[in-house]
Parts: sequence; structure tokens; C-alpha cells
Amino acid sequence: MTEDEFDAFYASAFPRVVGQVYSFTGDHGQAQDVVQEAFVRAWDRRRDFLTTEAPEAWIRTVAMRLAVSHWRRARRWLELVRRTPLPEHAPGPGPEHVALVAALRQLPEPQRLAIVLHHLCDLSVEQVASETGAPTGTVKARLSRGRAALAELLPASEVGVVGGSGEEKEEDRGR
Amino acid sequence: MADDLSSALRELADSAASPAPTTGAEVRRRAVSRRRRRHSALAGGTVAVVAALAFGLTTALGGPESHRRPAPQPAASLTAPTADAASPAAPSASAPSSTEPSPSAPTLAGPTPTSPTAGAETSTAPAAVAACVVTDLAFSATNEDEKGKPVRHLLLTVTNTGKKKCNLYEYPYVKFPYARAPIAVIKDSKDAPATLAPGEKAYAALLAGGGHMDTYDTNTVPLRIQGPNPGSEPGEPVNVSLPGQVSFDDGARVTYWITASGLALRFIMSS
Repeated sequence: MTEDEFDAFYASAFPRVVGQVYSFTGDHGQAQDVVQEAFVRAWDRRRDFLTTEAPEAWIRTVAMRLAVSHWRRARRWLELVRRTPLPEHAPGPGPEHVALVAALRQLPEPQRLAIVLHHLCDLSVEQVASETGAPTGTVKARLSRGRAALAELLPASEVGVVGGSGEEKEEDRGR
Repeated sequence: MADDLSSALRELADSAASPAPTTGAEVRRRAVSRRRRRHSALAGGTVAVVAALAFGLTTALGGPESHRRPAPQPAASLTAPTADAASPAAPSASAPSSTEPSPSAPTLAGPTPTSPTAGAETSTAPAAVAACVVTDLAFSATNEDEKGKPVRHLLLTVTNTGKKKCNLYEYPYVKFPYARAPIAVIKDSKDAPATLAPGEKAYAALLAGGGHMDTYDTNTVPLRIQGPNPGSEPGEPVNVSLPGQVSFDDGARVTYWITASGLALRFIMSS
């Protein structure tokens, strides 16, 4: 990846990954911060980064990890080191997404991460397992519990959204 | 169905997509300046190590002679008043390095590396067997990650190269220059001290971290072994070469010395 390619990759992937991380954290400002940090690390460690076949997945993994682990510290630290502050946080989710964001927030973190990686980022169960360091059986359990919890948390009008077990999808992806 | 969940999530993610706040060139510039900062920190660390080595040499070579001939190396004068070193037997570990606080008084932040129960374990080791000394040990580090992936999981191997059985206590004490604390031990991996016959090996798994803050890139780790008494001062560091450059951060963890390599690795491979 040349400098120009990296710059183009940054411009195109940043918005998308921010949306994915936001779906996981529900915090738009933090999502921007950790994705920005992930891109800085990508160039800092470009020897690792450039060997990866899926640069966007690399960025997302680093950003999600930052969001999971020490995000409060990370945030304070980012505020200290960055010279130009990021734009003020965007307003919360639009009315059509409020319920989903609120429901997602109530899921335990591992379930939420599994749901987002599998259903939003299109990772297979095996890929989710390897990204999160959990056995595939655990990932499957997290997915089905997470879906069940979402079905209960979402109001009736949206129940259709998450009904069903999704087993076929998992099976398909598992191969 | 689950596909509806996917589309709902996609809509949500799309609604939250926001344009990059800066340019790729700006990101690269930040990455480069961060690398520069880290390198200057590394250079400082190297000075400390060189100074410590120089001091170790003067005490080792000098003996009583060092009283008569103050060490000429300017590096040695950085770390300790060698000319006034009272006892030739004084271990050089007591020399305060100007940059790295003595390991006996670490300003601990985060997980405490010392184990409160170490005393009880110690008594279970055969008393006749002496503690291993670092000069009778050989160390190596191997990469446990797939080729092409960033190195995060390492296996430290120690071999008894001496002629007698010896006991290896606690866990590898790894403290980088400027680090506030050594790499924290995974308490669950606690085992009885390893008794190593000549040629036998013990292992410790070392997780470099990943996604945490305060990264430190290096291709060697300064490793010290610990004695039987809990909280006793670890010995001199040995620089163990890593299989290439590894990025450590404050999520790094190490296991106790364990005689089964697979068992040691099990404590870190899920991280």
C-alpha cells in the first residue's frame, strides 16, 4: 500500500468502520476516536498492517479492541495527544434507531460484540471466534442469547426484526 | 429472521457513518511522530542498559582492585559511584541506575506482581536444591502466532545449562526501561517452583498485549529470575532476543515458570 493508497483507504474506510464501532459502543465520539487511533497505529506498524489481506478488518479489530478494553483511558490519552480536536460528537441516534441502540446497550459486551461482528460486519462464526478469542461454541451461544435478548428488548413493532433463531445462517457461514 | 437484524444494524451503522475528520497524510504524520518519540525513548533505555552493564563489568572484574583504580569508563560514572563502592561483594544490582528505579522499590501501578502466598510454596521445594543462578541458565523466546500475523504470544524457555539441579522460582520478572512496573503475572498460573535437572527446561508464556495503551516496541526483553523469598530482589537482567520486533503494551502478561509448555501457553492463547 503506497501513501496515496493508504490515504484513499482512510477516506473510504473511516466512515464505515465508525458506523460499525458505533453500533457496538453506542458512543459516536468514542467510535471516531478509536477508529482514528486504529489508523494511526496501522501506519505506525505498517509492516504488520500491510501484510494483512483484509486491511479494513485489521482496522476494525484494533478499533473494537480499543473500544472494549481501556476506552476511558484511551479517550483521555487521545485528548492529550491529539492536536486538533475531533469535531464535537454528533447527536444521538435518529428516532428510528433509538430503540435498537438502547437494546444493544443492554446486552453484555461479549454478546453485543458477537452480534455486531456477525450480523453487521459479516464475519463467520469462526472469524468472530478468532477475533474475540472465544471458542466457536461460545460465540454461537452469545449470538443466540444476544438475539433472544434483543427480541425481548425491542418493542413489538420491531420484533419482526430479530425474531427467529438464525440457525440456518450460522450453519451456512460455519462452513 | 437474523437477516432483518443485519439490515437494521446496517441502517444504524450507516446513520452513524461520519466522514474522516482529517486526511490520510495527517494520520501518517502522527504515526511517524509517534514512532520518533518511541525511538528516542528506546535510545534512552539503551544508555541505561549499557551503563548498567559497564558497572557490572567493573565490579565483576575489579574486586578489591576497583578501590585503587576508579573505573575510567564515563558510562559507569553515570550510574554509580564505583570508586567508592565499599564492598567488592556488593551485587551490582544495588547500583541505582539514574533512569530506571531499582527493582527493589518499584513504584507499582496496576496489578501487583508479587505473590502473597509465595512463602508457603517455597517450603514445598526440596531444601537441598539450590536456587538457579542466571549464569547456569539459557533463555530463548519463540513466536506462537501464525506466520504473517503480529507477534503477541511468546513462549519463554529456560534451560538448566549448569551441572546441578536447581530450583526456579516465581515467574520471569520483565521490566522495560521507564516502565513503572514489571509485566504482571497471571496469578492463576501459579505452580510449585520448577526443579530443573541439568538439561531440563521450564517455560513461561508471555502475552505482549494488544490494543492497550503505552506501547513499547522491542526485539529483546530484559528478563530477571527471582529467588525463593517472596519480594526478594530479582537478579541481573538477561536480554532475551525475541523473534523479531514485538509491540508490548500495558495489557502484557506473563505466567509463572511451568514445566509443561502447553500448559503455560494455555493461560494466554485465548487472549
